[in-house]
Amino acid sequence: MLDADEILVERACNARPGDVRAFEELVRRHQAKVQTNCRYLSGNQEDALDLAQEVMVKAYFNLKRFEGRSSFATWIGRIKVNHCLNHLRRERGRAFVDLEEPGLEADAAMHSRVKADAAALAGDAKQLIARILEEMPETLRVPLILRDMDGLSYQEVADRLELGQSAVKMRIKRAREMFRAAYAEGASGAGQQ
Amino acid sequence: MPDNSEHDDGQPLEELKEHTLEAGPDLPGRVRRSINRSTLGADSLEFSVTVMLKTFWEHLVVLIESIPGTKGPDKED
Repeated sequence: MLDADEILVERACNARPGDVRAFEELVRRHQAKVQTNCRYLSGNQEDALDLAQEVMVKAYFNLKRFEGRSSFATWIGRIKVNHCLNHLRRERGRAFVDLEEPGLEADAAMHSRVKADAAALAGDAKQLIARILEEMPETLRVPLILRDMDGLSYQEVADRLELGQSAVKMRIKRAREMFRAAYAEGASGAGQQ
Repeated sequence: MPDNSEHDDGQPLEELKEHTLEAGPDLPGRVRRSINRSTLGADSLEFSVTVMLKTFWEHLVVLIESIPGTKGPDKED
């Protein structure tokens, strides 16, 4: 039995030229997730909307290639990851492999900034998460997002970032530790208000 | 799917699993307009190429027919 996404994909594929209503409904269903990921992968709130738009348009023109072997969410997730990583490479003009490992001072600086924001973010876990991820160095944030938000395997993350698997595992471990510490600190800071 | 290794036996961050922020303004509208622009651009290009090829073909036919002793390409009608 087809799920709602598959029905919409079928309708979008069979629609008359110029009729994008079914695809628009697909965009509505997935826009929050795609745009959120674009924001964290690019590290730039302004770029996120443009990137999300480009991902959706790319998906539309490749819709006939969607074979339904995975869910539509997974399929569009792959397009999004590739598009955002290509954007980052173009933007920064380098591969992830040569990024510096952040030092311990990065942790300390991040914790103090998150704590300072805790008051403003009191009771808003979503904004606290957003703040922590935005403050996290790109070297840690990108592998963490690919693994824990997009559900890629360690090997897939390593391949996409052109890094060794052990480097990826270490970065993700470090990112999780950093996130948990900052989240606990932010939450307790908010609780003290 | 989680891999076990000596580097990271930690659990994925549950907070990130379903974390989404509010979507930006009118993404579906932006996508629709972008698709329409691309489709229109492709249609215009196709039309221009078709017109150009047809014009070139007509000129070629006229040129061939103008050579004495040639009938030009066979026409069905």
